[in-house]
Amino acid sequence: MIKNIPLRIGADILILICLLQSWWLAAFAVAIISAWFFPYFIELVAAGIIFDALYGMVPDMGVWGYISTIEAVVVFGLVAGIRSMVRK
Amino acid sequence: MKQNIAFAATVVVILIVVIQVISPRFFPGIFVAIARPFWRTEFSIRSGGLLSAETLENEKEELVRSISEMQVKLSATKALESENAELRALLGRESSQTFAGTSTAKSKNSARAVRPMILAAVLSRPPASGYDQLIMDIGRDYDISTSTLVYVQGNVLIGRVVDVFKSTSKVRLFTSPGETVSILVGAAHIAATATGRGGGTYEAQVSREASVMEGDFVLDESYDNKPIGIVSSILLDPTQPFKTVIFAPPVNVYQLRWVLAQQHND
Repeated sequence: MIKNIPLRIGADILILICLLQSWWLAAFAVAIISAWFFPYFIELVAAGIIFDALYGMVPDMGVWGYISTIEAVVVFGLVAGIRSMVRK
Repeated sequence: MKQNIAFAATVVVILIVVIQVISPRFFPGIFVAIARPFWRTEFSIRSGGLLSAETLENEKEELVRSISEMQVKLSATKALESENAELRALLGRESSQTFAGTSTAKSKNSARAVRPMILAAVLSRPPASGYDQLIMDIGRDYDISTSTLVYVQGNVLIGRVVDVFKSTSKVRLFTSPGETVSILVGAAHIAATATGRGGGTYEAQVSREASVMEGDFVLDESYDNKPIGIVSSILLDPTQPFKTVIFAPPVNVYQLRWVLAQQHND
């Protein structure tokens, strides 16, 4: 696990740029990779919330307006679980 | 330590859910307001903010020439419209539509049947946005509401506003998967229902005997018969009693930089 704070901040900035450019695939790829290497990478869930806030969360979309948030939470849990199993 | 983090995370999640239930537009309002300056800066750069004065001057001259040509064509169109109205009057059928000009100025809600169109810059567009939506740079400040329709040049209808913020708004394209519109296809005005396929295209099913050809115009029946697309291909399965018409707007929605917004009277 990497505990380099500047590197983590760099990853956060990269994710934010990808979100602003609406490059959602790139944002999630960077976030998932970062979640594997950084401890408690809650920025993955924040990325999902921000993406939905920018491009989703429209009333008539229903649950589909929150799909990125849901995916981020699920992936965060999966990565945390797999990591804890692999690194035991 | 882990328990503390888990507890804190649970509290944050519950807080976010509660805020979202009480005020669904709280987070979108904040993040869109934060993102807007970045989108505007990027739009300005793409529009030539970093170009030299000479390049901009040449571009301006070319645009002025194009505007002059379009004004000539517009005069011809107005003459045709006037003749059309005259012929309708002769046949006893008055036209209910008048020409709607474009305007970049703020406009209050009007009692007129046709409201002026407002030019808007596209700050974010699909496919990258992931939801087949556009974000345009006008919102409540220009009296945009969820009854506003969005067009591209040529009065081609492409979508409707689904969420409005102070100075931005989200536009759902009619080509979004699951969106349906009532249409009239071709010269015979064959009625059908079109479904968005995503990727800037629609599909509709018509009778196998219907006379529809590639290049036929498609009109939107729901909104004053505005043009909505051009037939690009027809898929025919000999085992089926219908054929599938694929059509798309005449402009690439993934490369849009400007759109026109107009309030629609339901």
